This record gives sequence, C-alpha cells and structure tokens, in this order.
Amino acid sequence: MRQASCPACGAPLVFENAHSLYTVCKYCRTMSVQAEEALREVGKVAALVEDGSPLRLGATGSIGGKTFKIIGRIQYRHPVGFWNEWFLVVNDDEEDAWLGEASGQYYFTRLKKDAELPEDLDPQKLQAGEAVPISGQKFFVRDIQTTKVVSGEGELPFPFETGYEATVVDCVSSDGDFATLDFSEEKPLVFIGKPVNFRELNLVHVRSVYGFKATDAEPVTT
Amino acid sequence: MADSEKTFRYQAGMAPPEPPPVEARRLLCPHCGAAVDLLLPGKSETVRCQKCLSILEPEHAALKLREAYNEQFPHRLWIPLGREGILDGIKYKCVGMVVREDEEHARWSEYLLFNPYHGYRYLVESYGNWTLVEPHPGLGLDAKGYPVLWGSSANIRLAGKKFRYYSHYRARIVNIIGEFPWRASIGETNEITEYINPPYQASCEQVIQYLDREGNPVDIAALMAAEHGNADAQHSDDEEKILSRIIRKRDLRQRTTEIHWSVGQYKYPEEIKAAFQLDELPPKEAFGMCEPNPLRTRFWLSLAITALLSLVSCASCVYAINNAEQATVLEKKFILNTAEFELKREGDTDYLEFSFEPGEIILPKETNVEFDLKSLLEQQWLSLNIFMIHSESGAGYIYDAELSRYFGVSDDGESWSEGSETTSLTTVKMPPGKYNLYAIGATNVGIYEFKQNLKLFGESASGMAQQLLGPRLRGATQQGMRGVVLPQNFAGKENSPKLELTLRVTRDVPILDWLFPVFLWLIGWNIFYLVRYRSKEKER
Amino acid sequence: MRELWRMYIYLPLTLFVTGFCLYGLIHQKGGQKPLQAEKLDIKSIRKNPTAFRTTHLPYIFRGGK
Repeated sequence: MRQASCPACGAPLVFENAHSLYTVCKYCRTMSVQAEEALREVGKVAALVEDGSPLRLGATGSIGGKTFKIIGRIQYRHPVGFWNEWFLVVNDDEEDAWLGEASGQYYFTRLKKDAELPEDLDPQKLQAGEAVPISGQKFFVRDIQTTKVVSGEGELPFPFETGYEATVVDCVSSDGDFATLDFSEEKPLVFIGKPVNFRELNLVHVRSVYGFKATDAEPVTT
Repeated sequence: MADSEKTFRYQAGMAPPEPPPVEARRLLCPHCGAAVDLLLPGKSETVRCQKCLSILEPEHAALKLREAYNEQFPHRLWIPLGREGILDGIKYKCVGMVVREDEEHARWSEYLLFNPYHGYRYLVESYGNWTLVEPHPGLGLDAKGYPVLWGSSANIRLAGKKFRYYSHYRARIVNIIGEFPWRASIGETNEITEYINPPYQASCEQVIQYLDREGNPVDIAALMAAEHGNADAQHSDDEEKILSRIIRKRDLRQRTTEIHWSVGQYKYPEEIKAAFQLDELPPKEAFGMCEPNPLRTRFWLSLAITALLSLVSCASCVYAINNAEQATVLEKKFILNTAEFELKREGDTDYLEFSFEPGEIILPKETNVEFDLKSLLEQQWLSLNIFMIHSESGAGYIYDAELSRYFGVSDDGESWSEGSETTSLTTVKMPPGKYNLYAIGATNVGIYEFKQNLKLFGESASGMAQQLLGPRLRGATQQGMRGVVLPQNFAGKENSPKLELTLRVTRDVPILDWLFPVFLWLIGWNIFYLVRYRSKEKER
Repeated sequence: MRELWRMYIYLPLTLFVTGFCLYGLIHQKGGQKPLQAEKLDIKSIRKNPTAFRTTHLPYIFRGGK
C-alpha cells in the first residue's frame, strides 16, 4: 500500500494494488497517473451514472478462500443496461482480478496478458455459437455487443476514456469457464474466469439500494 | 462552475462526496399528468403509466413520452406491482408484468421480479402453473459438447442438468405493465426454444442481426413496420412471412449476435400464494410444462416397493429352502410285466389296469411329500393313483399322477412332441407316522400285445377268443367291473412288453409356488403405473 | 411422501397380497390335496389286489358311498 496525494486538489490517495497506475480522486474526480515516483495529472473525468449497483469501492468479499477488496471501477453502457468492471486487490495474489457485474450477474475474471487468440479474429464476422480457441481451450461465443465507456473511479491498472466504444465478445467453455474479449485496442484484452452468484462472493459492506437493506443480501430464512 | 471546480482544494478532515441514496421516485406522466412511481430509477428504461397506459422512458429526473395510450389495463395482475415476496430464500420485488401469446393464441403472463443483489427473475404463470426463471450465463450444449442453436430439437445439457426438447414457437408481447430494464414495446415477437427436465425447464432465445450486401447492419424492426403498412390486412399478423419476404427482397444475411439461455424451476401455487401473501390465484387449468409428474413419482415408488418386496420374498425363499429337510426316503425302479395286467374298457377306451406296492416311508414330523415319477413312454400314457396308507390309523390318502408322451411328424414335415417322461406332485402336509405306499395304475402300454395274447392264450383260445373279447369286455365297461386277465402262465409271457417306471419319494420339500403370484402382482402394478405415467406425460 | 399416500389402493392390497403369499411360503402351505379313505389295511389289499381294484376303488372314488 502506497500513500500519495492528488496533484489537483491535494486530497490523500491510497494505492492498494501494486499494479495500479491510474487513480481517480474521489474529491475532485481528477485522474492521475504514476510517473517516476510522482503523480501526474491526466485530466478530469466524467461523473458516474447512478446505475443502482449494490457494489461500491471498499466492499470486501472472498472467493475460493481468498479475500478481496474492491478498489476501482470502470462503468460501461451496454445496449441493454449498465455493466461495471470492478477492479480488485486479492490477498496474496499477483495477478489482476476483476469482478464484472450487471444487474445481479457476476463474473470473476483475471486479465490474461499472454492469452493466445486466433490471428485473424474479426469481431464483426463472429457469430454467436461459434468456437473460438483461447490458449488452446475451446470457448464458444455467447454474445457480441458494442459497449461504451461511461466513467470510472478508484485505482485502475489502465486508463479509460468516456464515450469510447468497443466491441466486447463474451464466450463460455463447455466446463463453465467464462471469457471476455475486449476489442478496444489493437490487441484484444482477454479476461478469463467464471460466472459466480452473489452468495459465492461473500460480500460485506455492500450498498443498500431500492429499499432493499444490505442485510437482505444474505439468504432470508422463511 | 468550471472555475470553482478548478479551484477546489482538499482540506484535512473533509468527507468525500457521497452519492445520494438510490430509491423509488415519484414522477409525473407527461401524457396524463398522473403520478408514476418509478421503483428502480437507474435500472428501468421503460415504465408504463398505470392511469393512461402510456409507455414512458426515464430521462434524467423526469419521464419522457415514448408511446401515448389512453386505455385501461385489461389483464389481471395476480401479483400486484411493488409487492415483495421470498422465493428460494431470496426477497424479490414484483416490478413488471408481460402478457405473451404464441401462434396458437395460448397466453401466459411473465412477472418481472427484482432483487438488487441477485438480479432479475421471471415468474411465469401459464394456466395456473408457475415457473421461476433465472437467466443462465452458460450455453446449452449437445451430446458432443457443442452449443445448440435455436430451434434445435436435440437433447441438451445446461447448468449440470440434462434437458429434452419440448417446443419451438414464436411469442408475441400482447401487453405490458410496470417497468423494465430494456426498451419494451407491445407487439414485439421473439422465437423461443424450450427444453424440459421436470421440475426444471430451459429456454433459449437468440438475437439476430440482419446485414445487407455490403455487410452493414439494417434496422429490421423499421423495415418490418414499413412492410406491415404495405401488406394486406389479412397478412398483418404473419410476422414470419413478412420477415422472409424482406430478407428475399433485400438479399439480407442473418447473423446471430447473442444467445440467451435461462433455467426455470416449477413452483407450486401454494408456494407463490404464501410468498407474495396473495388471497387468490388463477385456477390450475392444465398440466404444467415442467410440473413434476406425480405419476412418475408413483411409478418410481412402485418400482422401489417392488424391489423391496422382491428382496423380502427372496429372503423368505432362502428361509423356506434352508428349513426344508428335502430327504429322499424312497427311490425305486419298477419293471412290471404287462401280461400280468387286467384289460378294462371305459367308454370306447381299452386300457390295462395294474397295481404294485412301492414300499413304505416314515414321516418323523408333519411335512409334505413329493412324488417324482419317471417312465420312458412312446406314444403312450400312464395314470397312477398313489395310496399313502397310515399304518396306525388306516387312513388312506390318494394322489393322482399322470404321464404321457406323444411325438410325430406333421403333414408339413415339422416334427412335434407333447407331454414328458417325468411328472412330479407335492402333497399337503401329512400327519407324521409310517405309511405303506400302494399304487394302482392304468396305461395303454402293452395293450396291443395283451389283446394278441388274449386271442392266442385266452381262456377259450383260438376261435373262441374273437367272440370272447367282445361281450366280456363290453360287460366290463361299467367301472368297477372285473376286467379280462391272461392265464397265469402262458408261452411268451416273459416276452410281453414291460412297463418300466421310477418312483422317487422325498419328504419335506420347499413349496416356492407362492412367489409366482407375488411377482405377477408386483409386475402388473408396475405396468399400470408406467402406463399412467406415460399417458400423463402426453398432457404437457 | 404425499404421492405414497395417494397410492392408497395399491399399498394395502400389495401389502396384503405379499403378506399372504409370504406367510404361505414360510409356513409351507399348499400342495395337492388328497382324496381320503378310511380303514384301509395294506395286508388285506395285498391279499387280493384285483378285488380291491374292482370293488373297493370305485367305492373310494364315489366318496365312500
């Protein structure tokens, strides 16, 4: 954990993940980047849209015996509804982990920098149901959607740009693995993981929304 | 404003800005001015005014008119909007309802349930049957592990379960009420493929993109709407025909961009009633698509009971066998000379009567006795009355045993045979004690030779014999009358045919005949329950 | 469990039928019933079997009349 202060307003900033290079100040919504021992201001970012997500920065949970904490977020707009990618710091873990979340559906994934994809993969030509090998594992395309970046908050390993559009391809394997191919850059970003349900995440410090109390998130016994 | 933001400086102890709480908001209908309670601001993209039924769209902190209506909602909402209920341990709020129908105009309702932590669910009500449906992140796979596409009638695997194909149909949205996280509208159609594994159900919907010759996506909904205006009134509801006409005319290419699977579980009406505190529910008018078949349960129960009782029967069988002594108390072979028999006639049948004494047996306690009789017969018959005479009381117990064997070749060259060389009879339990056995038999073995010998060596031989045979035998037709016997000693007596028979007597043998009716009974009921289960399945 | 109670015809009948049959099996009920005669003496039968067959047998088969 490193301490710093916002180059724009001077508010204290904390980096909890060693891989975090960018951070958005929660006081003045200025994004800054770590450059040679100091923080450099990148610019102001747009406001997040209230999407009613029950997750928030600082929420903690555990999956498969490992505890994690939500430290950053990128908010996307899908053709139907919002999609959040929550950036996590996982205890005793070097790899970056993300929690994809959209209206009660959750995907625990990790960014695979060395994932191998077929060379001529064109998201515009792909069809749902088609097989796509990822690092030798057979995945099938479930959906192909165009998403738009809304905004972000907290600390992140890479920056975001409001209004940036990208094609995102979601895939599943026959043994239930999940993969997202993000075609926002020349080389697609590959996230691989599993769909999880809310209970498997053992989240605490979640938000109370729409009159549902955070305690309602726990199984209700009748 | 921009200036003040730029000059913002953090001061020690300052609390970070917190977003306002997210909760239901009361807005106004831009069409009729009535209050509209938006239950899920930030999630819902469509909301319907409950007064005028206009379709509205939340935009910032207000509602925008998308489609104006001035109607009353004609369908009954069994679960009121905003009502909360607990299903499978999760609290849901009912936020919307969609009425859909298929090509055959069968209608059903889909209640949209929401929980911020667990997401959206559909609670489908069809003719009084309820199913809780949850979106599934996976894909339905076929036996080879490949995703099945829309409309496939293969059996599939999803969520660790196997499903069998049920139906494929086009569903049309008849009406909506409440709020939805997508741009909902009336009249939209969608093709759905359904699979079942009661109490579970899986369904598949696909999103298809239509591309023109250059590969650019086209707005199919707009084209359909335009075509609707052109088409004749009678064609107006035939979506599929219009679609294929547009595809043909514009040379469009289809591209599947999304496959959505969902898994449902049947819910009994009582559970829904209790969960949402309802006073009334729609009457159950049909056997549900994924309703557990109660007759299937009964069939499996009858199979289980059969298995259990079979086990008990086998155990009893082992007990009976182990408890039976099964001791052979007499085994003898008898060679009887037919020349010493007595010729008798009953009706038109001539036969030879004889008697012999097999021996004596002892029953130390009250047990049954088995007689096994064996004789190598060839186109012959043999009938035996076995007397068991209790040596102390003089009581006689008489048992019949019959044996016959015939064989030959039929007209069309097939060889046939009937009867057998052995027979066996088991008695009821007999009182203990010593028994003398006595056997009286009748047979046709040696009857031809007997008559020949009678002609040759009868009391008044040669010429007389022919006549003798007639009247004397005729006199013997009445049962009990003395028959005809050959002289004590005559030439060729020793060469007369012999009746050979073997008699074995075993005491205390197990009687297992009881198993037969038990198994017949159990199998019969299993067939009954199987037939009822299969015929109930056809009602889905 | 509810379905088990709904098999209310099958269950008691089956239990009765199997119970009855297994009782018969364990107690070795059954077997061919004999025709019965009284006061038979093997020695006198042995002395004159033909007479026994001709006169006594029909009498037994008539049921002792």
